[in-house]
Amino acid sequence: MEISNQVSEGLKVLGSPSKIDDDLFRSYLEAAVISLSSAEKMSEIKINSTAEVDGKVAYASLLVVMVEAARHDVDSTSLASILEEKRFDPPRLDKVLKLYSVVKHKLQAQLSGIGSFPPHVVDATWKLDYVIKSDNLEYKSGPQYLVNLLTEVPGGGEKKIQFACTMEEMQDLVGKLREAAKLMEKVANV
Amino acid sequence: MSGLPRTMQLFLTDSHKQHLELVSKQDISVFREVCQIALDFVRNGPNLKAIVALSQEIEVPPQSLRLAIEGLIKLLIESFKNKLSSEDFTGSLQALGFREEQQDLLTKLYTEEGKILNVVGGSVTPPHFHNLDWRFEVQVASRSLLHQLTPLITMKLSLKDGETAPKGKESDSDSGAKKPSLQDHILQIDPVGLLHITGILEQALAEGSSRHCRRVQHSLE
Repeated sequence: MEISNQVSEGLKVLGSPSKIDDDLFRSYLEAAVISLSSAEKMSEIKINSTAEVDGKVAYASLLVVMVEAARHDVDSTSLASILEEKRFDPPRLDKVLKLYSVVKHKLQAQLSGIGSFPPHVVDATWKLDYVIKSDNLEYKSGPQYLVNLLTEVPGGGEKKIQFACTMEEMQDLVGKLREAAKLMEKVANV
Repeated sequence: MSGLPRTMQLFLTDSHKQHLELVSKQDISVFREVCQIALDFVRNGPNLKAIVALSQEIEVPPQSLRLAIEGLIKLLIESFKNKLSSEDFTGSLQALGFREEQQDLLTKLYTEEGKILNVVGGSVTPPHFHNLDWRFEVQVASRSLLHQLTPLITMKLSLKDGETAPKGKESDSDSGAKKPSLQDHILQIDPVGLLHITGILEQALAEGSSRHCRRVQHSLE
Protein backbone atom coordinates (compact mmCIF):
# COMPACT_ATOMS: atom_id res chain seq x y z
CA MET A 1 0.00 0.00 0.00
CA GLU A 2 1.56 3.22 -1.15
CA ILE A 3 0.80 6.57 0.35
CA SER A 4 1.26 9.84 -1.49
CA ASN A 5 3.40 12.59 -0.04
CA GLN A 6 0.43 14.79 0.58
CA VAL A 7 -1.41 12.15 2.57
CA SER A 8 1.78 11.28 4.37
CA GLU A 9 2.18 14.90 5.46
CA GLY A 10 -1.44 14.97 6.57
CA LEU A 11 -0.94 11.85 8.69
CA LYS A 12 2.08 13.37 10.37
CA VAL A 13 -0.05 16.36 11.33
CA LEU A 14 -2.89 14.12 12.52
CA GLY A 15 -0.58 12.06 14.66
CA SER A 16 1.07 14.84 16.61
CA PRO A 17 -0.76 16.26 19.64
CA SER A 18 1.15 19.51 19.28
CA LYS A 19 -0.51 20.31 15.93
CA ILE A 20 -3.99 18.92 16.55
CA ASP A 21 -5.37 18.90 20.05
CA ASP A 22 -7.26 15.94 21.50
CA ASP A 23 -10.73 17.49 21.11
CA LEU A 24 -10.20 18.20 17.46
CA PHE A 25 -8.77 14.71 16.93
CA ARG A 26 -11.84 13.18 18.55
CA SER A 27 -14.18 15.25 16.39
CA TYR A 28 -12.31 14.09 13.27
CA LEU A 29 -12.69 10.48 14.31
CA GLU A 30 -16.41 10.91 14.95
CA ALA A 31 -16.87 12.62 11.60
CA ALA A 32 -14.90 9.86 9.89
CA VAL A 33 -17.06 7.09 11.37
CA ILE A 34 -20.19 8.69 10.00
CA SER A 35 -18.92 9.67 6.60
CA LEU A 36 -17.21 6.34 5.95
CA SER A 37 -20.24 4.34 7.00
CA SER A 38 -22.57 5.72 4.40
CA ALA A 39 -21.92 7.51 1.16
CA GLU A 40 -24.93 9.81 1.54
CA LYS A 41 -23.71 11.26 4.82
CA MET A 42 -20.27 12.00 3.42
CA SER A 43 -21.32 15.43 2.18
CA GLU A 44 -23.41 16.26 5.24
CA ILE A 45 -20.48 16.11 7.56
CA LYS A 46 -18.71 19.42 7.88
CA ILE A 47 -15.60 19.48 9.92
CA ASN A 48 -15.08 22.47 12.04
CA SER A 49 -15.00 25.40 9.68
CA THR A 50 -12.50 27.14 11.85
CA ALA A 51 -10.01 24.34 11.29
CA GLU A 52 -6.75 25.39 9.79
CA VAL A 53 -5.70 24.15 6.39
CA ASP A 54 -3.48 21.68 8.21
CA GLY A 55 -6.49 20.28 10.00
CA LYS A 56 -8.40 19.77 6.78
CA VAL A 57 -5.47 17.99 5.20
CA ALA A 58 -5.21 15.79 8.29
CA TYR A 59 -8.89 14.86 8.14
CA ALA A 60 -8.74 14.14 4.41
CA SER A 61 -5.65 12.00 4.93
CA LEU A 62 -7.45 9.99 7.58
CA LEU A 63 -10.28 9.23 5.15
CA VAL A 64 -7.88 8.36 2.35
CA VAL A 65 -5.91 5.98 4.55
CA MET A 66 -9.05 4.22 5.72
CA VAL A 67 -10.37 3.74 2.19
CA GLU A 68 -7.01 2.67 0.77
CA ALA A 69 -6.41 0.24 3.63
CA ALA A 70 -9.83 -1.32 3.06
CA ARG A 71 -9.18 -1.46 -0.68
CA HIS A 72 -5.92 -3.31 -0.14
CA ASP A 73 -7.45 -5.38 2.65
CA VAL A 74 -4.62 -4.38 4.99
CA ASP A 75 -4.74 -5.94 8.44
CA SER A 76 -4.52 -3.81 11.57
CA THR A 77 -0.87 -4.72 12.32
CA SER A 78 0.28 -3.51 8.90
CA LEU A 79 -1.81 -0.40 9.27
CA ALA A 80 -0.23 0.18 12.69
CA SER A 81 3.25 -0.04 11.26
CA ILE A 82 2.35 2.41 8.49
CA LEU A 83 1.04 4.87 11.07
CA GLU A 84 4.04 4.36 13.33
CA GLU A 85 6.22 5.41 10.44
CA LYS A 86 4.34 8.70 10.44
CA ARG A 87 5.22 9.10 14.11
CA PHE A 88 1.68 8.68 15.42
CA ASP A 89 1.55 8.83 19.17
CA PRO A 90 0.37 5.49 20.62
CA PRO A 91 -3.05 6.48 22.11
CA ARG A 92 -4.09 8.06 18.80
CA LEU A 93 -2.80 5.08 16.88
CA ASP A 94 -5.07 2.79 18.90
CA LYS A 95 -8.06 4.99 18.22
CA VAL A 96 -7.41 5.04 14.48
CA LEU A 97 -7.04 1.25 14.48
CA LYS A 98 -10.32 0.99 16.33
CA LEU A 99 -11.95 3.22 13.75
CA TYR A 100 -10.53 0.98 11.02
CA SER A 101 -11.96 -2.16 12.58
CA VAL A 102 -15.36 -0.50 12.79
CA VAL A 103 -15.58 0.79 9.23
CA LYS A 104 -13.49 -1.80 7.35
CA HIS A 105 -16.27 -4.23 6.48
CA LYS A 106 -18.77 -1.57 5.57
CA LEU A 107 -16.20 0.09 3.39
CA GLN A 108 -15.32 -3.13 1.66
CA ALA A 109 -18.96 -3.89 1.03
CA GLN A 110 -19.32 -0.48 -0.60
CA LEU A 111 -16.13 -0.87 -2.58
CA SER A 112 -17.20 -4.24 -3.91
CA GLY A 113 -20.34 -2.63 -5.29
CA ILE A 114 -18.36 -0.28 -7.51
CA GLY A 115 -18.12 -1.45 -11.07
CA SER A 116 -20.45 -2.84 -13.67
CA PHE A 117 -22.31 -6.03 -12.98
CA PRO A 118 -25.09 -7.94 -14.63
CA PRO A 119 -28.40 -7.71 -12.79
CA HIS A 120 -28.33 -9.62 -9.54
CA VAL A 121 -31.15 -12.04 -8.82
CA VAL A 122 -32.51 -11.37 -5.37
CA ASP A 123 -35.82 -13.14 -5.16
CA ALA A 124 -38.27 -15.31 -7.02
CA THR A 125 -42.01 -15.67 -6.91
CA TRP A 126 -44.17 -18.16 -8.69
CA LYS A 127 -47.70 -19.23 -9.27
CA LEU A 128 -49.11 -22.38 -10.67
CA ASP A 129 -51.97 -22.20 -13.12
CA TYR A 130 -53.88 -24.97 -14.68
CA VAL A 131 -54.66 -24.05 -18.26
CA ILE A 132 -57.95 -25.52 -19.33
CA LYS A 133 -58.39 -23.76 -22.59
CA SER A 134 -57.10 -20.64 -24.27
CA ASP A 135 -58.18 -18.57 -27.21
CA ASN A 136 -54.90 -19.25 -28.90
CA LEU A 137 -52.73 -22.29 -28.97
CA GLU A 138 -49.79 -20.72 -27.20
CA TYR A 139 -50.65 -22.56 -24.03
CA LYS A 140 -50.97 -26.27 -24.01
CA SER A 141 -53.64 -27.24 -21.60
CA GLY A 142 -52.16 -28.48 -18.38
CA PRO A 143 -50.19 -27.13 -15.46
CA GLN A 144 -48.31 -23.97 -16.18
CA TYR A 145 -45.94 -22.04 -13.94
CA LEU A 146 -45.52 -18.32 -14.06
CA VAL A 147 -42.18 -17.37 -12.53
CA ASN A 148 -41.00 -13.90 -11.62
CA LEU A 149 -37.34 -13.31 -10.97
CA LEU A 150 -36.64 -10.11 -9.11
CA THR A 151 -33.32 -8.64 -10.16
CA GLU A 152 -31.35 -5.72 -8.84
CA VAL A 153 -28.57 -3.69 -10.36
CA PRO A 154 -26.28 -2.23 -7.67
CA GLY A 155 -27.36 1.39 -7.45
CA GLY A 156 -29.77 0.86 -10.31
CA GLY A 157 -33.05 -0.34 -8.91
CA GLU A 158 -35.15 -3.44 -9.36
CA LYS A 159 -36.43 -5.17 -12.44
CA LYS A 160 -38.71 -8.12 -12.88
CA ILE A 161 -38.14 -10.91 -15.38
CA GLN A 162 -41.25 -12.87 -16.03
CA PHE A 163 -41.54 -16.13 -17.85
CA ALA A 164 -43.82 -19.10 -18.13
CA CYS A 165 -42.85 -22.73 -18.06
CA THR A 166 -44.52 -26.08 -18.20
CA MET A 167 -44.00 -28.81 -15.64
CA GLU A 168 -41.15 -30.35 -17.65
CA GLU A 169 -39.43 -27.05 -18.20
CA MET A 170 -39.71 -26.29 -14.51
CA GLN A 171 -38.05 -29.61 -13.75
CA ASP A 172 -35.29 -28.69 -16.18
CA LEU A 173 -34.81 -25.30 -14.56
CA VAL A 174 -34.81 -26.59 -11.00
CA GLY A 175 -32.49 -29.43 -11.97
CA LYS A 176 -29.97 -26.99 -13.35
CA LEU A 177 -30.16 -24.70 -10.34
CA ARG A 178 -29.79 -27.66 -8.02
CA GLU A 179 -26.74 -28.79 -9.95
CA ALA A 180 -25.16 -25.37 -9.55
CA ALA A 181 -26.00 -25.28 -5.84
CA LYS A 182 -24.51 -28.74 -5.32
CA LEU A 183 -21.28 -27.83 -7.06
CA MET A 184 -21.06 -24.68 -5.02
CA GLU A 185 -21.47 -26.56 -1.76
CA LYS A 186 -18.83 -29.03 -2.85
CA VAL A 187 -16.40 -26.23 -3.60
CA ALA A 188 -17.18 -24.61 -0.25
CA ASN A 189 -16.35 -27.82 1.59
CA VAL A 190 -13.01 -28.40 -0.10
CA MET B 1 -65.43 -43.59 -40.16
CA SER B 2 -68.84 -44.01 -38.63
CA GLY B 3 -71.81 -44.11 -40.89
CA LEU B 4 -73.90 -41.90 -38.69
CA PRO B 5 -73.74 -38.23 -39.50
CA ARG B 6 -72.08 -36.60 -36.53
CA THR B 7 -73.32 -33.50 -34.96
CA MET B 8 -71.28 -30.52 -36.00
CA GLN B 9 -68.91 -29.63 -33.25
CA LEU B 10 -67.53 -26.57 -34.87
CA PHE B 11 -69.16 -23.27 -35.23
CA LEU B 12 -68.31 -21.81 -38.59
CA THR B 13 -69.73 -18.65 -40.05
CA ASP B 14 -71.53 -18.77 -43.38
CA SER B 15 -68.81 -16.79 -45.09
CA HIS B 16 -66.22 -19.18 -43.74
CA LYS B 17 -68.22 -22.10 -45.20
CA GLN B 18 -68.46 -20.26 -48.49
CA HIS B 19 -64.70 -19.83 -48.61
CA LEU B 20 -64.21 -23.49 -47.91
CA GLU B 21 -66.58 -24.44 -50.70
CA LEU B 22 -64.05 -23.27 -53.21
CA VAL B 23 -61.52 -25.84 -52.01
CA SER B 24 -63.96 -28.68 -51.62
CA LYS B 25 -64.99 -28.24 -55.26
CA GLN B 26 -61.45 -28.86 -56.51
CA ASP B 27 -60.22 -32.23 -57.67
CA ILE B 28 -57.74 -34.09 -55.57
CA SER B 29 -54.49 -33.01 -57.24
CA VAL B 30 -55.36 -29.32 -56.89
CA PHE B 31 -56.65 -30.00 -53.40
CA ARG B 32 -53.34 -31.55 -52.44
CA GLU B 33 -51.58 -28.43 -53.65
CA VAL B 34 -53.94 -26.25 -51.65
CA CYS B 35 -53.16 -28.26 -48.53
CA GLN B 36 -49.46 -27.86 -49.22
CA ILE B 37 -49.81 -24.10 -49.50
CA ALA B 38 -51.86 -24.00 -46.32
CA LEU B 39 -49.25 -25.99 -44.44
CA ASP B 40 -46.55 -23.74 -45.78
CA PHE B 41 -48.59 -20.77 -44.63
CA VAL B 42 -48.68 -22.09 -41.09
CA ARG B 43 -44.97 -22.77 -41.05
CA ASN B 44 -43.50 -19.85 -42.92
CA GLY B 45 -46.25 -17.32 -43.42
CA PRO B 46 -48.23 -16.57 -46.54
CA ASN B 47 -46.64 -17.25 -49.89
CA LEU B 48 -48.50 -14.95 -52.26
CA LYS B 49 -46.60 -16.12 -55.31
CA ALA B 50 -47.72 -19.70 -54.89
CA ILE B 51 -51.29 -18.59 -54.32
CA VAL B 52 -51.34 -16.43 -57.44
CA ALA B 53 -49.76 -19.18 -59.54
CA LEU B 54 -52.31 -21.73 -58.39
CA SER B 55 -55.21 -19.35 -58.84
CA GLN B 56 -54.24 -18.80 -62.46
CA GLU B 57 -53.98 -22.51 -62.99
CA ILE B 58 -57.47 -23.20 -61.71
CA GLU B 59 -58.86 -19.89 -62.98
CA VAL B 60 -60.23 -18.35 -59.82
CA PRO B 61 -59.45 -14.87 -58.50
CA PRO B 62 -56.35 -15.02 -56.27
CA GLN B 63 -58.20 -13.25 -53.49
CA SER B 64 -60.83 -15.99 -53.30
CA LEU B 65 -58.17 -18.67 -53.23
CA ARG B 66 -56.37 -16.87 -50.48
CA LEU B 67 -59.55 -16.64 -48.43
CA ALA B 68 -60.17 -20.32 -49.04
CA ILE B 69 -56.69 -21.24 -47.84
CA GLU B 70 -57.03 -19.06 -44.79
CA GLY B 71 -60.40 -20.67 -44.19
CA LEU B 72 -58.79 -24.08 -44.30
CA ILE B 73 -56.17 -23.06 -41.75
CA LYS B 74 -58.85 -21.56 -39.56
CA LEU B 75 -60.74 -24.82 -39.77
CA LEU B 76 -57.67 -26.74 -38.61
CA ILE B 77 -56.98 -24.32 -35.78
CA GLU B 78 -60.56 -24.33 -34.57
CA SER B 79 -60.66 -28.10 -34.62
CA PHE B 80 -57.42 -28.34 -32.75
CA LYS B 81 -58.53 -25.81 -30.21
CA ASN B 82 -61.73 -27.71 -29.57
CA LYS B 83 -59.69 -30.90 -29.29
CA LEU B 84 -61.69 -32.75 -31.89
CA SER B 85 -60.73 -36.38 -32.22
CA SER B 86 -59.79 -37.39 -35.75
CA GLU B 87 -63.19 -39.12 -36.12
CA ASP B 88 -65.00 -35.96 -35.12
CA PHE B 89 -62.80 -33.99 -37.44
CA THR B 90 -63.61 -36.25 -40.38
CA GLY B 91 -67.26 -35.99 -39.45
CA SER B 92 -67.06 -32.23 -39.53
CA LEU B 93 -65.40 -32.33 -42.91
CA GLN B 94 -68.14 -34.55 -44.21
CA ALA B 95 -70.76 -32.11 -43.02
CA LEU B 96 -68.91 -29.33 -44.77
CA GLY B 97 -69.16 -31.15 -48.06
CA PHE B 98 -65.63 -32.42 -48.46
CA ARG B 99 -65.31 -35.57 -50.54
CA GLU B 100 -63.93 -38.74 -49.06
CA GLU B 101 -60.43 -38.56 -50.44
CA GLN B 102 -60.26 -34.92 -49.42
CA GLN B 103 -61.39 -35.89 -45.93
CA ASP B 104 -58.66 -38.49 -45.74
CA LEU B 105 -56.01 -36.04 -46.79
CA LEU B 106 -57.14 -33.35 -44.37
CA THR B 107 -57.52 -35.79 -41.49
CA LYS B 108 -54.01 -37.00 -42.13
CA LEU B 109 -52.85 -33.40 -42.11
CA TYR B 110 -54.80 -32.77 -38.93
CA THR B 111 -53.38 -35.70 -37.01
CA GLU B 112 -49.82 -35.45 -38.27
CA GLU B 113 -49.28 -31.74 -38.59
CA GLY B 114 -51.69 -30.58 -35.95
CA LYS B 115 -48.87 -30.33 -33.45
CA ILE B 116 -47.31 -27.52 -35.39
CA LEU B 117 -50.38 -25.43 -34.64
CA ASN B 118 -49.65 -25.93 -31.01
CA VAL B 119 -46.37 -24.07 -31.16
CA VAL B 120 -47.26 -21.43 -33.69
CA GLY B 121 -50.05 -19.02 -32.93
CA GLY B 122 -49.16 -15.72 -31.39
CA SER B 123 -50.57 -13.62 -28.63
CA VAL B 124 -49.53 -11.37 -25.84
CA THR B 125 -48.06 -13.86 -23.45
CA PRO B 126 -45.01 -13.85 -21.25
CA PRO B 127 -41.98 -15.46 -22.86
CA HIS B 128 -41.39 -19.09 -22.23
CA PHE B 129 -38.47 -20.65 -20.42
CA HIS B 130 -36.03 -22.12 -22.89
CA ASN B 131 -32.70 -22.82 -21.28
CA LEU B 132 -30.44 -21.93 -18.40
CA ASP B 133 -26.66 -21.96 -18.62
CA TRP B 134 -24.57 -21.23 -15.57
CA ARG B 135 -21.01 -21.02 -14.43
CA PHE B 136 -19.55 -20.77 -11.00
CA GLU B 137 -16.88 -18.14 -10.60
CA VAL B 138 -14.90 -16.45 -7.89
CA GLN B 139 -14.08 -12.81 -8.28
CA VAL B 140 -10.56 -12.34 -6.97
CA ALA B 141 -9.98 -8.62 -7.51
CA SER B 142 -11.50 -5.43 -8.81
CA ARG B 143 -10.14 -1.94 -9.16
CA SER B 144 -11.92 -0.77 -6.04
CA LEU B 145 -11.22 -3.87 -3.97
CA LEU B 146 -7.90 -5.53 -4.66
CA HIS B 147 -8.04 -8.65 -2.58
CA GLN B 148 -11.30 -10.46 -2.47
CA LEU B 149 -12.85 -13.86 -2.87
CA THR B 150 -16.38 -13.27 -3.97
CA PRO B 151 -18.14 -16.43 -5.12
CA LEU B 152 -20.70 -15.74 -7.81
CA ILE B 153 -22.85 -17.71 -10.16
CA THR B 154 -23.34 -16.14 -13.54
CA MET B 155 -26.32 -17.43 -15.45
CA LYS B 156 -27.66 -17.05 -18.92
CA LEU B 157 -31.40 -17.41 -18.93
CA SER B 158 -32.78 -17.93 -22.42
CA LEU B 159 -36.43 -17.15 -22.90
CA LYS B 160 -38.39 -17.97 -26.00
CA ASP B 161 -40.72 -15.31 -27.21
CA GLY B 162 -44.04 -16.91 -27.95
CA GLU B 163 -45.01 -14.22 -30.38
CA THR B 164 -44.72 -14.87 -34.05
CA ALA B 165 -43.47 -12.15 -36.34
CA PRO B 166 -45.88 -9.25 -36.26
CA LYS B 167 -48.51 -9.10 -38.93
CA GLY B 168 -47.95 -6.86 -41.90
CA LYS B 169 -44.40 -8.02 -42.35
CA GLU B 170 -45.36 -10.37 -45.10
CA SER B 171 -42.64 -9.26 -47.45
CA ASP B 172 -39.83 -10.91 -45.52
CA SER B 173 -41.83 -13.97 -44.64
CA ASP B 174 -39.70 -16.40 -46.60
CA SER B 175 -36.49 -15.50 -44.79
CA GLY B 176 -37.45 -17.66 -41.81
CA ALA B 177 -38.52 -14.66 -39.76
CA LYS B 178 -41.17 -16.75 -38.04
CA LYS B 179 -38.71 -18.58 -35.87
CA PRO B 180 -39.53 -17.85 -32.26
CA SER B 181 -36.96 -15.34 -31.11
CA LEU B 182 -34.77 -16.10 -28.12
CA GLN B 183 -33.96 -13.42 -25.63
CA ASP B 184 -31.02 -13.93 -23.33
CA HIS B 185 -30.71 -12.47 -19.87
CA ILE B 186 -27.32 -12.44 -18.24
CA LEU B 187 -27.81 -12.60 -14.50
CA GLN B 188 -25.66 -13.01 -11.44
CA ILE B 189 -26.47 -14.49 -8.12
CA ASP B 190 -24.57 -15.05 -4.91
CA PRO B 191 -24.45 -18.45 -3.21
CA VAL B 192 -26.99 -17.59 -0.54
CA GLY B 193 -29.33 -16.22 -3.19
CA LEU B 194 -28.91 -19.32 -5.30
CA LEU B 195 -29.87 -21.59 -2.44
CA HIS B 196 -32.81 -19.33 -1.70
CA ILE B 197 -34.08 -19.30 -5.30
CA THR B 198 -33.50 -23.01 -5.72
CA GLY B 199 -35.47 -23.64 -2.55
CA ILE B 200 -38.36 -21.50 -3.71
CA LEU B 201 -38.58 -23.16 -7.10
CA GLU B 202 -38.15 -26.64 -5.64
CA GLN B 203 -41.10 -25.89 -3.46
CA ALA B 204 -43.03 -24.74 -6.52
CA LEU B 205 -42.22 -27.98 -8.26
CA ALA B 206 -43.19 -30.06 -5.26
CA GLU B 207 -46.44 -28.15 -5.02
CA GLY B 208 -47.14 -28.96 -8.66
CA SER B 209 -47.17 -32.67 -7.96
CA SER B 210 -48.81 -32.45 -4.57
CA ARG B 211 -51.97 -34.32 -3.78
CA HIS B 212 -53.98 -31.12 -3.88
CA CYS B 213 -52.78 -30.23 -7.36
CA ARG B 214 -53.32 -33.73 -8.66
CA ARG B 215 -56.84 -33.73 -7.36
CA VAL B 216 -57.56 -30.42 -9.08
CA GLN B 217 -55.99 -31.70 -12.28
CA HIS B 218 -57.92 -34.88 -12.10
CA SER B 219 -61.23 -33.13 -11.76
CA LEU B 220 -60.45 -30.83 -14.67
CA GLU B 221 -59.36 -33.42 -17.16
